[in-house]
Amino acid sequence: MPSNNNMNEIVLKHPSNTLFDAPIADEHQDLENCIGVVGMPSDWTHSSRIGARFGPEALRRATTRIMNEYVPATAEVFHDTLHGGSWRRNPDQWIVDLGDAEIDPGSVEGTTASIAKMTEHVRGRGGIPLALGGDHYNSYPACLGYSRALSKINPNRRFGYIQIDGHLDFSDRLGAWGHFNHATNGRRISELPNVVRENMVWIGITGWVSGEELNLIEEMGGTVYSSGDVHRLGAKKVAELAVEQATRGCDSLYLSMDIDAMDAGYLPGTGSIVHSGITPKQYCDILDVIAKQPIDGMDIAEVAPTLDPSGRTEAISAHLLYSVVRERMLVAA
Amino acid sequence: MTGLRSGPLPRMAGDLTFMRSTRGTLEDLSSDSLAVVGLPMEQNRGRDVGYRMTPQALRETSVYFGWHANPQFSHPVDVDVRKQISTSSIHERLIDVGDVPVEGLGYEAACVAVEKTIALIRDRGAASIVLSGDARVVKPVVQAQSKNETLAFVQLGGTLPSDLFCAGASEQSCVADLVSTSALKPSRIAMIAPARMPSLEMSQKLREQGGHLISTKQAMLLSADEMESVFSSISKGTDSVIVHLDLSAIASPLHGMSPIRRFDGVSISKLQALLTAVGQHPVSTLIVTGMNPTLNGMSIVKTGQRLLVTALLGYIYGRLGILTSLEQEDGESAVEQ
Repeated sequence: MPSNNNMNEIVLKHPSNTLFDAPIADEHQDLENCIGVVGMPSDWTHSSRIGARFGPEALRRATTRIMNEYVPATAEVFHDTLHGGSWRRNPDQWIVDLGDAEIDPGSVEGTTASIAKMTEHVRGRGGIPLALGGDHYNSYPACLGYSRALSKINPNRRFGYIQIDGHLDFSDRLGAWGHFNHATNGRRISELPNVVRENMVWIGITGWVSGEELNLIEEMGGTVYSSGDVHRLGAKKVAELAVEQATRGCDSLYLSMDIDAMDAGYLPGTGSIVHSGITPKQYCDILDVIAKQPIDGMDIAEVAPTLDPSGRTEAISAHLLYSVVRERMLVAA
Repeated sequence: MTGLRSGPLPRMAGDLTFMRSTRGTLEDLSSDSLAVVGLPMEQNRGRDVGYRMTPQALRETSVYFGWHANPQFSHPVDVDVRKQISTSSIHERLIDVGDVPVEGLGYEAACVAVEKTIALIRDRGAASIVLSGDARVVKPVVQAQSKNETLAFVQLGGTLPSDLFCAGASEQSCVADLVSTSALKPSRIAMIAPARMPSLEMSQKLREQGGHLISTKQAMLLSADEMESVFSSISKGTDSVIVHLDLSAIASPLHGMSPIRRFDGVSISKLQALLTAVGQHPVSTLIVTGMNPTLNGMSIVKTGQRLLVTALLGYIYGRLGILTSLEQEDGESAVEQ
């Protein structure tokens, strides 16, 4: 217990977690060059195993743990045993958490509008939206808002797109779920006016996929790297090729991370599992390369903690996010 | 039912059959059919009960791969090797005949029911995939066919008898039982990637008599030609091959759903390659065992059943002869572009 003399120095912590223990932001806050976190606790657009609605909460919980364990506030300088070097916490404001978008389980249109409004707000204020799913459909409204904001900033600005995923998500529609669900988000994003379709790249696709969707992607000039490609060529090489293709002639890059690109043996807590997928280490190696690029919008999807009683899914997913934001979180000591 | 729906069924709805295949009876089978039959039985001893739930669990997971029943899904393509399948014939040839009614029966009575069913399937000239509980089901399945056919036997994963010629009552001794009654000949047996080290005596006897014992490490290094050589050597001169696939062929950390813990194991791609290679021979029955869906809580962590169904895909497509090469216009893969 602190002594009464120190009571005035105690800063009580907000009872709910934020991503990487970020300060909670209001809508008037300056977001220039700052990551703005938007939660998308919706899995009403997933067709089978639900649970991703608890993803944002789990990611906030797990990343807060990362802050306490990897870069504790009690230490001045840290040594990064994974990447090497000595680092300090970035003293500048590099991330804020804007909370969750309003989800309307009965209206995919309403949910779409709500999420898009928030990511448009973040990007429009010069920030970098980081949207937390939710099932992977929510990647579409997150990217939609981002796309709208980019158009307002500069009508001529175009963006490339990298999707790390076990699946293409390029269906036009999926059975009873229609055109807006977790199997169509890639397709809907390809229809946005300022995405460069030739700069759309998929990494980690596994197993049997729709031949028609694969053909459509390749006909529009997009590129698909399977998990087998990652195993054969190496994660770093695939990421370098993907970055080269996704950033051709573009100043902006959107990154969509579906955790189900990873083999279900490592990470069972997700709706649509795959086998022979990439490993967590390969995923991190890919992100280490991509994180150095001018990403100005991103999302992570399909973290379903209720499907993994062991808790490792949210822990691994949090580490993926750490790989993406590490260069902003830390400064060289 | 025509006209009630404009789209395919949602995944969790509808008549539960393996891969959304046609539901049929034994009378519907022909020599062109690949039957799917469930044997929801297990040894039911010790702590690890729950294998009997496997047929249901595998069917539920396999629905994900029921593309042929989904008019909105075009021809599937294996994204790694760019091979496509034409799924239109699956409906006529993959037939789920349901489960053998063994509930409440003792082991011997259940074996009689299993033998009868398998014999009827073989009488129709059909091949089958048997979705089963634990390895004790191997014995009645083999016995059902050994009366009229000369058999070769391939086991992937699973345990081994301590002595190949010593019959006993345990699950591990099924193969030994079958050898002792001459239902199987050691020279027609290939044990691949067993989950436990065999005794020196057992491995020597098997090899001396022309059988194959291939460790996981050796299996991972097998080329396509070497696989073909192994399967040819045991199946030459036989009427059919029985394959026993146990989930323990794959390392436990990748699924956690087999009570046989192991830290090595073949990869899913190697397992698919092995099944595809053996599928080029006259496989009459593929028996799937070794998964306990209740270990991680059914419907929660489905990695074991997904692994098994994924492994079976290549076999099924190869067996039905519907795999084709996908010719790309420029003749190059995405990686090479």
